[in-house]
Amino acid sequence: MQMPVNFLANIGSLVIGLLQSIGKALFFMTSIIIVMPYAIKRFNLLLKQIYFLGVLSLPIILTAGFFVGMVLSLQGYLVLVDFNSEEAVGSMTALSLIRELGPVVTGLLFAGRAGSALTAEIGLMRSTEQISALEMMAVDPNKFVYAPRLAASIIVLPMLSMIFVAVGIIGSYLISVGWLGVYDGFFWTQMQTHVDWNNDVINGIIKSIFFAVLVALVSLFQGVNAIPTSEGVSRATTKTVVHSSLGILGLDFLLTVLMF
Amino acid sequence: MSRKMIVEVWVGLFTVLAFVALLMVAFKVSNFQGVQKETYQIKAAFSNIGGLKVRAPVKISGVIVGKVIDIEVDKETYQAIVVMAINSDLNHLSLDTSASILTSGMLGDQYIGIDPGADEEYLQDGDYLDIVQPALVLEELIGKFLTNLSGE
Amino acid sequence: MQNKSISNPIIEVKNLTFSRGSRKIFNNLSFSIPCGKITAIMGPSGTGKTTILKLIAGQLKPDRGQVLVKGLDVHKLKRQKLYELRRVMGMLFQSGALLTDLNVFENVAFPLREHTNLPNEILSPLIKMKLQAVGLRGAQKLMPAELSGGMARRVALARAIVLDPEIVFYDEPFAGQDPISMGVLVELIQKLNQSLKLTSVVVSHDVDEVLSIAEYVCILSEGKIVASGTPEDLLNSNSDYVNQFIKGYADGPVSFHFPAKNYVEDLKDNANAS
Repeated sequence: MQMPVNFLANIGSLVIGLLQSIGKALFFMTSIIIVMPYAIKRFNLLLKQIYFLGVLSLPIILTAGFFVGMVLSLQGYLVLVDFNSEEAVGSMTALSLIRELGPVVTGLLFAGRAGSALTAEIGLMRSTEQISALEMMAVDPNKFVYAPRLAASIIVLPMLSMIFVAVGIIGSYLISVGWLGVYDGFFWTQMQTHVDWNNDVINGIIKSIFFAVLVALVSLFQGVNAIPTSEGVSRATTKTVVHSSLGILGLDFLLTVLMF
Repeated sequence: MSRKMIVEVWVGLFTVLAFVALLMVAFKVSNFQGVQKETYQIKAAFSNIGGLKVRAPVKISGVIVGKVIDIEVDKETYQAIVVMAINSDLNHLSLDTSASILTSGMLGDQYIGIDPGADEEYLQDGDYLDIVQPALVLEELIGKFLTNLSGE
Repeated sequence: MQNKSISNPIIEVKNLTFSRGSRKIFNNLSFSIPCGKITAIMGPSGTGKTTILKLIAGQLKPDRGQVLVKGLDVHKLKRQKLYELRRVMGMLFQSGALLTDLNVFENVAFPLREHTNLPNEILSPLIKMKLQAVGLRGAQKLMPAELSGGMARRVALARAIVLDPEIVFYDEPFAGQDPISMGVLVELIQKLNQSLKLTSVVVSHDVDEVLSIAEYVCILSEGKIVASGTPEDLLNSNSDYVNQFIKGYADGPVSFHFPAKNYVEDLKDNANAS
């Protein structure tokens, strides 16, 4: 009769472990958010992180945005042409890009490109004792390492998302106007009547800010809690991508319900 | 060029790119109008609004002068109360202005068209429009057409 | 040979208990480190020598007991006060722990830039002095990735002393060094200790190097101090353990074999099974 007792004990320790990691994550979050003002004062640190997280993510964002825009219009056109309303292809593409695909796909790509790099970097800094060394030099890693990375993510992701949307719309224009022969004027006017600045664009930007906070916190947390060996770091990197991707999708659903 | 400078130049370029994208989305893609224009509200009660939605445009002679900001049902009369925000520079709408729910094109979106009257006095913020014409509902039109046919 | 009372301790560890998971690393550990001398903490790998440094510096929290540095209880200090205390401590990490995205000069300058507002005209000669002291003034433009292990450790040493600390901790300074850089480090530790009036704490298991410079030695084993005293005391010790450790015998109180059941029995079992 040992089995059921063990089973219960296992469930118990699993639940406790889960609660513990939630608590740990929350502590970590608040300790970084408290020192955020410091990150903005240290402009040089911020600039470097904007470069690493933003500029280096540009190529993938540009290519992905362009192709997503083209594919959306191609698919949209095939459906809309049956109803003789192929001019709506512009507004359809723009709306889906601005409300959903811009923030979400950028968030996912950001998690894969920048989030994983963040985790690996922090994990490596820990395994080479750089974080310990900072603490010993009386420099708070929260201020010096984590806060600038969180701040840079929050600045960078909405920018990347906006670039993604713009490039996507250019791709859509090339396909629908340049190739499929939709009338140029209708393409833009349809868009302008259907895309609302306050309700669509601003909400899209708010979404990407939420995603930025999510991805940055998950990546930093995974980096800090990675077992400081090459195997531990690589496992933490995988976890970052999986957790933040799932987090983005869940959060997106929640935000969409609240916003639209 | 030092490493630091390269970083700065790239970040600058990135920022410009994001700004251009924002401008494009604002002016070319969406209905962004810079600072929100001053508006005042007028209301109208309709017996049927058809497919009218919040944010639908309000037009005079086909020109957009405002938008629908709220639609609700009056608890006593069970009519639809449509609240419109009209640009403040059009504050000389006479009291006997009429509103009708129209459709752009055969199956397009619905909007409110308002026709200024000839009264000397002007509508104030929160006033009701008295003369309204509800939306045309396709089923009712066909029904009428059929009864007319059978009546002949 | 018991812990002789030390007249002038700068660090006192009292009844310290620390465990990692279910494994007790230290149980009721007590010792003191005298001011202004080179103290060595020695012991075989895996006895938690690095852990004891992290406990003293307040990076780890003990389960029980206290650590007094300059009379202050490290683990009861507020974050702010702890960080102030750490400015009088320098630590040389095993890997050097240089910040990988800064060059040698900036690495050494880092603590000064963080804690002072010195203009470059004052900062630059200061850094060059410290780099000169470790013999690497010529390498100031190199990135950490371009340095050899020994050089990285010397840069880290320059960084550890740049704020003019009172205590410097050395975590395994000799591990994995070739004889020349080992000699360089031994000399540097001794020279710096004399010229800067430091208290140095060296954690290591390289017996010869440590005994050549240390003025006071503690030997740590299985979470306890098993012996302490001057190097001469230890060399003349009649304790089996100390003898085994210092002379490096393969077998002795620390058995060559990991605890196992009887060898003959074990082989017999195999024969029976097959």
